[in-house]
Amino acid sequence: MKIPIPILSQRMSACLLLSILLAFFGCQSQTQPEDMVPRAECGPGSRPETALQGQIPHKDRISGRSTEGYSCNMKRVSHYQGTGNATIGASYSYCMYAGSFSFALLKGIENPGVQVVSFADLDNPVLTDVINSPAMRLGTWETLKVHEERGLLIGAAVPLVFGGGFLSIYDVKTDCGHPRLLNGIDNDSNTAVMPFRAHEGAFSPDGMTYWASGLVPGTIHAIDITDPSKPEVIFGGLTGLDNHGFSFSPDGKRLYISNQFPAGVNIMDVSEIQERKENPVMRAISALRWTDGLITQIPIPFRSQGKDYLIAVDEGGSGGVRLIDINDVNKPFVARKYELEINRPEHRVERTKETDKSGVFGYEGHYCTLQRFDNPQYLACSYTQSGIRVFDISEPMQAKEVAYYMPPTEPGAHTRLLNSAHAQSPFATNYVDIANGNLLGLNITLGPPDMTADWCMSQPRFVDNQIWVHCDDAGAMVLEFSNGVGPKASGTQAQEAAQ
Amino acid sequence: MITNPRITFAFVLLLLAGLLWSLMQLSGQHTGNHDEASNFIPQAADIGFAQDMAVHHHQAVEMSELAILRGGDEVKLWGARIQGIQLQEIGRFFGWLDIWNQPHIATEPMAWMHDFHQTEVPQPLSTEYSHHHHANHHSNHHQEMDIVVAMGMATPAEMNQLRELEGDAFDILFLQLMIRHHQGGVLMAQAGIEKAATYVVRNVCKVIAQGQTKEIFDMAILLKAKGGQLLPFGVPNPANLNKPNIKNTQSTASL
Repeated sequence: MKIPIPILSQRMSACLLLSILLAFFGCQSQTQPEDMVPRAECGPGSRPETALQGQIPHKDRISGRSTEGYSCNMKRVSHYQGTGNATIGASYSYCMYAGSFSFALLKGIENPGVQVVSFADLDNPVLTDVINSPAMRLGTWETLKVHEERGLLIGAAVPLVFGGGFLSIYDVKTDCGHPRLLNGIDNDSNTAVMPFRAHEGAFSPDGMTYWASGLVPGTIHAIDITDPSKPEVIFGGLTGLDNHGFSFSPDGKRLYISNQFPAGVNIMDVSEIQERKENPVMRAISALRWTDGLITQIPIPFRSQGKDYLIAVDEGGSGGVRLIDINDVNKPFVARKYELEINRPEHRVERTKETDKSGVFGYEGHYCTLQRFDNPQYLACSYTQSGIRVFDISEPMQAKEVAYYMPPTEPGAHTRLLNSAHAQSPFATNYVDIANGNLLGLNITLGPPDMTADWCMSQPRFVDNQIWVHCDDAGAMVLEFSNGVGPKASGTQAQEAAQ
Repeated sequence: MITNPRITFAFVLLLLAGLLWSLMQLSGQHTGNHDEASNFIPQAADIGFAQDMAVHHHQAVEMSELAILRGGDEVKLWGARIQGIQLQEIGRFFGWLDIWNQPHIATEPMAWMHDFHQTEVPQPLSTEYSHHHHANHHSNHHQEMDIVVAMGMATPAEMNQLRELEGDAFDILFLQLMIRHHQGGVLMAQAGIEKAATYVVRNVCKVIAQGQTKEIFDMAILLKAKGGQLLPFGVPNPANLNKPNIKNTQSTASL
């Protein structure tokens, strides 16, 4: 009956209460020097960072150096900025879909919705469509996802942090540049209201279910999309007081869902939903909590050298990326942290000073992607103000950074980037680092952020020796590895994209 | 040094009595004083009740949200009332679980109730109480029971049906589902009163059992006024038997 929660102790309980009451400080950092990930060795053509790993130092923000961007063994070969991206964008084949932001509506954006951009010609990416069914128009937050095999694009309406009700399902397999709404009513321009909450969303691995988590309280709903024209809620439940991003085991029977306060991961048995048992029940398997981070994001499973792991990221509290051993699924534990230099506790003051005028998110990670499930060599993560970072994890316990790309910044561009969640942030502060004792230095700035750093929060996608990803201000980008780093270019996916 | 054998014997006796008392406390055995307010050590029933009642309550909150959005005036009020009460109770359950260092969700839902033999639920429109239809929650094979049906919860099909209705049809189905949901809640609370080791859980169970029983009767009056009938408790809703939510995952997987 008892579930082991290895790190949940009396001190943890105290931290939980403090967290919820916004008295986040006081939890002792568990970080160790060996948690640091060695810096990438940057080859020719790179434009390396000028200070700590992951940092855009104050002097670069003042001098304008950050407007040139930073890169290491990676270059941008194509991009389409448009009006920017909101949090999570997606991509399929040679097309990219920018997440939409409800504030864009308030700012009077001309053509609200999800911008569809074709990169069939990398030298000339073009806006081919703007899809604007209710969910796409109202803001997609962290729900805009693609299922590769089925060629489906789905987003839920999340106007501001909390949402649900509207779900839009598009066929992108037929023509990715012109998505076709499959669950439309009223002459295909609208969709029916559905009983679910959403902040975040994801497909089951077989693509027959779209799941939505509600943030607070920790609701989760499963929507059957076997027939995409008739989506139906088949399960509604709770994973706890709160939840966040999630993913599944390859068979879709095990749910890995993150916790925010305190940070951590819950492992749940959802086999009854996956198997379409009538009146299904979800069961907990185990849980893991930690105090040196906050607001954990999507945990992703993988297998390396016969061992099973999760990669989990904290989008707050400078928690970094974590390797979690799940070989005994009843007793998960943190095996290793992948920590950038700027995430170290001794750099708390610098990062507060630098990031707190550029929105509410700092140098934390957000969404990661593994090159593949079995024995992945590369892990790519979006790191809000630290750009896109790639690690070699072929030896998971000895991970090392191999490449990064931080887009050139554009201070003052907020008037143009109406769909950028970063550019349209109504205020800026360093709240995500409060867990580390920064409450006393809390500095809230009203109005647009200084934009001396971008926000990169989307899930990167490996395409041969490229990464396709969105950052909020830079928009849709195609990044290419260089100097012998990264996956080998087979040409298959790239050719497919070009065709 | 104590040399008097009588004092030594008395000392050992006291020590053994203290040890026995502690062991009984830790193992959840009650000494006959069932309302012992000083027992704060939760057992499986306390933990299971908090975990499962949170999930049970959560569905009532979801139904109440629909009622607030779509119900008639009386049903809107019911939605607001139930949402307010049950949300704060969910918070209480999660608070207990955090203090007890236990997860919010059960590894084996309803396992703590598998040997609970109470079979009566409030039946307001017929006799005051009646035996419900062989809800198999008292089976020893708790893994085999349909927890959703046995605990009076709305099935996914019923939730979808509720969302699609409007006007009096919505009000009637909401009241039918919520009354049945409350009947399950009362059953769980009764089990908690009988099985929970801690005073605080048993006390809240009493409050829930009394409160929801009263709400069942009050909602039943409104249901009757609107021309609705009670749903049977503990068996699948006959209206949904012909439209199971099980789908053929192979046939329409064209995209």
